[in-house]
Amino acid sequence: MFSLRALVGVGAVFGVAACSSRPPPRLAVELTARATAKAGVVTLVVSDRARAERLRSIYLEVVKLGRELDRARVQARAQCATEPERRAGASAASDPIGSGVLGCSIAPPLGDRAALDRYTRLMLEARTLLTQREFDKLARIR
Amino acid sequence: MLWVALATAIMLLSGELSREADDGAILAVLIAALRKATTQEVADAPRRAAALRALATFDAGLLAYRRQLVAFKACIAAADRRYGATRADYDACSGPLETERASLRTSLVTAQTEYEAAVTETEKARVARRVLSLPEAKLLDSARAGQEKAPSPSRSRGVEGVVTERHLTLPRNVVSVLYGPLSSATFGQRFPSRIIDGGTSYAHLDQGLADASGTPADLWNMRGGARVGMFDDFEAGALFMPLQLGPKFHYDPVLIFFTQQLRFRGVDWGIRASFETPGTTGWGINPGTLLGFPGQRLSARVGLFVPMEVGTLGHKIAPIVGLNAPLRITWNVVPSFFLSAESGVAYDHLASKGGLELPLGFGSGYSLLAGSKLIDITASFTWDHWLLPAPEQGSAQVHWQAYRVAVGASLYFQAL
Repeated sequence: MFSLRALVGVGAVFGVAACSSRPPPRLAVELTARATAKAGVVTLVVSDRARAERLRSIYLEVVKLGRELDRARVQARAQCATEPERRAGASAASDPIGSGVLGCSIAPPLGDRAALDRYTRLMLEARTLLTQREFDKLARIR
Repeated sequence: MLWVALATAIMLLSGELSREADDGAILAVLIAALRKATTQEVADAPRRAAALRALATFDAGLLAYRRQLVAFKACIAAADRRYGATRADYDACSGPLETERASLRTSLVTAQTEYEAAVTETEKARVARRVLSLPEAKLLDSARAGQEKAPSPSRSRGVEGVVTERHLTLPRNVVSVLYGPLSSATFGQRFPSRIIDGGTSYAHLDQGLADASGTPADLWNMRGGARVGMFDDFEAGALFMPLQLGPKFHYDPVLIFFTQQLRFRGVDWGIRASFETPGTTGWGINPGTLLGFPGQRLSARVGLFVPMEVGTLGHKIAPIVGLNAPLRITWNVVPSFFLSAESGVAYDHLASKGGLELPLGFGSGYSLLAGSKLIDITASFTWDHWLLPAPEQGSAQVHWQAYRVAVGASLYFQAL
């Protein structure tokens, strides 16, 4: 019986270890992960309830921003390939560069500047609500 | 079609914040396939070499762009870590990326021109057919891309901080190394022949109870394990280090548990299935349901479980079936420190008369942030058989001399 239990134990250890590997993430995933990690524990770091709640909502907004970016990525990906084809007919299929498929891909209608600006604004606001010590503690989380 | 696929592929990597996807591996497969197909389909050696050079140009441009993308991410991460970072610091991150994006466009135009000059229409059609028949190419298909839905998790996937705000299950990708009492996973883990909680524990029974239950009067245990949030509201775990330290050392049964949770406004409803590997009374099973009421300062948990021990195929016994309805109230005095009280009703063996018991317990804990990890240091004191309201013989009895003390610490962290 000991061996069965030991086997279950070893299996569980390997299971936990296997689940701990880290694949390379997208930027949207990284931003989301950093914000998510902080949102859960911010109330432990910032004792003032009002500041903690505002900070939590800032981090959750970043999480939302990450999701929007992911959605935008999927939509833009579909639009870039289909819209020039509709406009230019068959020529887009044979010449994606000339037809604008690539141009749309490289400079899509959804600007990164707006997303980055929004992210920057949120991060700067978070700094105004945190002391250096609190900020450092939260930064160590992720 | 070939260039449509490649353009789509580039689009995936072409810059806006969201575009740096995990599609890099797919693209690498496609470019490798393109190179291989070109090598096989273009018969004329000088034209083949020219076509491969064109692909190398494209590959190099893409690689440079991806490197810049990594630098961009690192730059944003560095700004995020600096308290004094300003808007200018964030703005400075995207400048080099814009330059690299322009270079990528140039290298693609060059590659396309050179490649098309090097191969005939027939060869190009053959190469395209081979590359686009790969399953990876289908992931870049525009029609399919239009149908794709971005995942939107229903629950935040970070470690939950304040104890009273925590849900019944761990968020997805959060792992807990469990070595302390008062954990959500061990709430209600009272089997007919043993009561299971994490950490190091000492249980003392008065002689009457020890004789009746057949367990030693003084029992030392050490139980540890792990829990993993596998999905947004599903967790699995095991106490795979269940040691009895005294009066005699041995390896106790392993406890395995799975909990599915449904979250409503202010209430969590969980369904849990727990199993114990065979002990002296065989396999242990503990199905049940629990409700959690998380709150900013105060939370409550209540459960209903039907624990049973059913023997094994080789050692058959009449199943010992019990009933357990625990209740725990937790109060966060300050965000990092909590007190708890618990009681409920328990009937360890429904077939025996007068076995109804009311336990009574108290606990406390301190949540400590240590870098990226959260540690709960917890302790509990429980009279597991505190009140017998209707024993088989005599009137109600209070067992002050049967108690259990447990202490330990549990660690929480994000696995991904």
